[in-house]
Amino acid sequence: MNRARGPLLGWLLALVAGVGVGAWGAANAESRVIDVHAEVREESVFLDADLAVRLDDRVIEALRNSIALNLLVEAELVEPREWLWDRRLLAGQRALRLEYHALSRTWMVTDLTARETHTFSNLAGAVESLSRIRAWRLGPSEALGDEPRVLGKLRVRLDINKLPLPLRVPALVRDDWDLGSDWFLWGLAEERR
Amino acid sequence: MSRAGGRLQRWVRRAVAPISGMVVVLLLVLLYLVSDSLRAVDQPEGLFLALLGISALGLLFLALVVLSHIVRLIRDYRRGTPGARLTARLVVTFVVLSVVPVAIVFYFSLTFVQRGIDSWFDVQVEQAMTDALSLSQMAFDGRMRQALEETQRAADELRDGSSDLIALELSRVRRTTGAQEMTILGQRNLIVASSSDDATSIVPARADETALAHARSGRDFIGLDPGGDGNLQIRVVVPMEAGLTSEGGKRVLQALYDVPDNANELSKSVQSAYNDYRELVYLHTSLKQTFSLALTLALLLSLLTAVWLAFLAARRLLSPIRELAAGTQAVAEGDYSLRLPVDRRDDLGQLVQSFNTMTARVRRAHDVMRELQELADKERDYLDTVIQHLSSGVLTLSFDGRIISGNSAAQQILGVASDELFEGSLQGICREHASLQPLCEAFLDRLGADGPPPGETVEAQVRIMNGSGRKVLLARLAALPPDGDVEAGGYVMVLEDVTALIQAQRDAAWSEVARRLAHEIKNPLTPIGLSAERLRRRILPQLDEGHAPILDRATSTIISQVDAMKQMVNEFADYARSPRAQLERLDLRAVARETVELYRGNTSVKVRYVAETEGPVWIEGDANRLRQLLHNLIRNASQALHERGTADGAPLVLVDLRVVGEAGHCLAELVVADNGPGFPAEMLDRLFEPYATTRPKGSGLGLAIVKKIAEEHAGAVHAWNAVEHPAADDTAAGQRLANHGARVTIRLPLESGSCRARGGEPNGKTGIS
Repeated sequence: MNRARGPLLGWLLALVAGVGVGAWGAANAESRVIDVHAEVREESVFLDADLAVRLDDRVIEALRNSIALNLLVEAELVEPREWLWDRRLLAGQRALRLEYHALSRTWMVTDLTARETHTFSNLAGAVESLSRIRAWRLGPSEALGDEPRVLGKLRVRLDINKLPLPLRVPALVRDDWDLGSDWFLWGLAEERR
Repeated sequence: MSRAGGRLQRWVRRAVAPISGMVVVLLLVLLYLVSDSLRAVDQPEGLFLALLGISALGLLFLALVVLSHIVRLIRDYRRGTPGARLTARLVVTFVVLSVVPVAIVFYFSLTFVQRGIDSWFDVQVEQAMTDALSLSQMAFDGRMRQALEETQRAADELRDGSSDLIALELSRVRRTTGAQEMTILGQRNLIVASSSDDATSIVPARADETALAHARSGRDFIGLDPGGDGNLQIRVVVPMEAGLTSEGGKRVLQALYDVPDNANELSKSVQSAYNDYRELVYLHTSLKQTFSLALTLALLLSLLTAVWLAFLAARRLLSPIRELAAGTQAVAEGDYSLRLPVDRRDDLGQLVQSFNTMTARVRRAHDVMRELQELADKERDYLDTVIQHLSSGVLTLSFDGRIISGNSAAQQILGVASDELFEGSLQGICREHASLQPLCEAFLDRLGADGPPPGETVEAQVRIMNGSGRKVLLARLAALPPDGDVEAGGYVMVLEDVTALIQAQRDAAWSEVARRLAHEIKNPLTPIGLSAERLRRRILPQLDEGHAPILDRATSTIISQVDAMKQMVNEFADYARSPRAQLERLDLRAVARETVELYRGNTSVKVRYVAETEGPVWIEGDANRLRQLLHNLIRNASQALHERGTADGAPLVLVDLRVVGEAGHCLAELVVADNGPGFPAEMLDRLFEPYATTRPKGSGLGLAIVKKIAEEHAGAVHAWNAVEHPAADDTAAGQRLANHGARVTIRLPLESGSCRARGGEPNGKTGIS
């Protein structure tokens, strides 16, 4: 589901899909985006991002009970407009999965977009690996065109639809399952140079 | 604007039911999908939440529809709209009927779901799963120890190798150990050298920080690595003692060993089963909640649908009843034209049909009734008109004598104004008008219980005296048929003014008497007279002085009395003679003047003519008879003046002629006035009857003949006293006599009928002849 079409459409879709409750819950997000750095290199836009992903004890318990967490990191570069919806220039999404492997007693972080799996012997290492996004190629830099002002947006959220079915409704309504962050906004004017 | 709004509202109202129906079907499908997705393993992402969301919205819509129905029902109930109570009862019944089974099913389903889910879990199974996992781990222990030893040996071999050739050395050593991949990591975990079985792998799998830190601190790290594709590998990280880097950090050697395929498969299976079981255990509360949620949604859907359908059914069931109620109300208000549509074949349809039949019958009956009413009205109007134009007075009285209705003739006859008449009773009228007392005396005691039975009449002749003179009334009282009440229907009283009739009868009788008298008396008179004269002529000369005067006196007396008798008989004959007046056009003015002229030499009583009209007064008349009329009147007046004297001044008789108009007709009015004492009051109403005289010698026929002549000329005569009616005495003659004395007024119709009268209503109000 594309949330960037506009506030109204997004709201309607969220309402219809019942995600509206989740969007409302995002107001007191557990996770944060600490910093994002974007740069244009070899005619591509690359993002480095540092997140602070916090997992509630209940979530950790679920992880230990073989439930995988799917996190989505969403980034957009938009052209802000005064009285129209922002025009999206570039957008990307990164899916990350964190799970516990009982047999090997290890934590696995899988970058589903890059199809890479890393194994960690403790949770902290896995979470740290999740929080660090490096050299994420968002798209070709020519998409930015000559826009004088470009706004960057990035956030992380829990992909509820990938949770086991019985957990989806609780994850929608309960605070401890609210792993998403607010949109992190930053100006892109200087970075582009 | 409001019309468009109304149309929109109607459309919405009409659309709500089908939309609700579709929503119910959609919800059923959704709930099926929800329950299906609870079982299905792989399904499109987001489907479950979307289904739940849409279901919630659908339920919300249904709830709003039901709420609006309930609100409308409560409003109708409070207003007492027809059918509201029945609707409420039906809805409650439907809802109770549906809630009870649904609630039972819900309760047991919920219980079964909870127990069913609980029954999946077993302590022994859980323990077995854990044990299986431990067993799997232990199965790898031997291989892991062997891998550790191999790696330690390799590390020892590589320790002395030069850094330039270390890659080659590593590759050689790796092949001796059987490791799948070997990597030497140096300072800051940079890869110093790497060797792998897999030629396609460029970047070696890196160990995590924990393992590297572990190795750097001088201890060996060994662990299982699930890897990306789920194939287990054994990862060993050992320190390499003699680091060759300038920074002095320790190098570490990381080696990855494959596990045997069958062990790998088995462990994967164990891992998968353990995962699933752990997940189920962890999720069983949530699972129960989710099932409960789905069941609750189904329950809500059932309840709301039941209530909604109850409303629909009630409305459909009751719509003919509502129409019937509205129709009954319309009929109660007198609108019989309503026909209800018959669009169903059940009992209610029959009821509606019966209602329509009933309404049609009532309408027909009503029409007939109205026609009858109109007919009755017409009859009554007809009767009313007839009664109003009857010359007889008709009064209807209630049982106790109240006057209910009457015609104008009755008012005229009784001389009572209509408002006074119709608001009072017979008794009241008699109290107010003393002159009507004889009527009441005759009839009051015949009213009420003593009244005549229906069909019989009581008749009485009543003489009343009122302002317009003496009247003889023939009154008949008949009881009306009972009106259906206990009391009798009242009475009808018919009054006839028979004064004129009686007068005419009397006149006719007198005429006959006079004619006979004249005939019988006249015949012997002539021989008597002749005999007396013969006696006188033959005997008188022979008688002596002594007897001759006696005979002379006797015969003279006989002859004079016979003459007087003859004259009287002639008068009788005149009166009795059948009126064959020769009517011709004549000038009444000339006749009157000529007649008065004959009295010019009269010394004892002066007779004068007073002309109020300039020109001739043409009438159709017999000059001789009119002269006789005047003579009679003048003689009558003169004799009265001679015998009874005058009120003041010399005796004077005036003859006045004028033209008056009355109700569009022109009449010649001849007034003979004197200044005598007037007519005696007791004579006034009988003046014109024969033999009504105050004089001992009078025949009493003078005025009777006057009246007769006047009637021969289609005229009227009345006598009155000026003193009693000074206002009516407005003629020139009357004024000359200072409103004193007797007056006789004769009115004769003019020949032409055209009227050039100088106005002035005719006034004769007394002494009607």
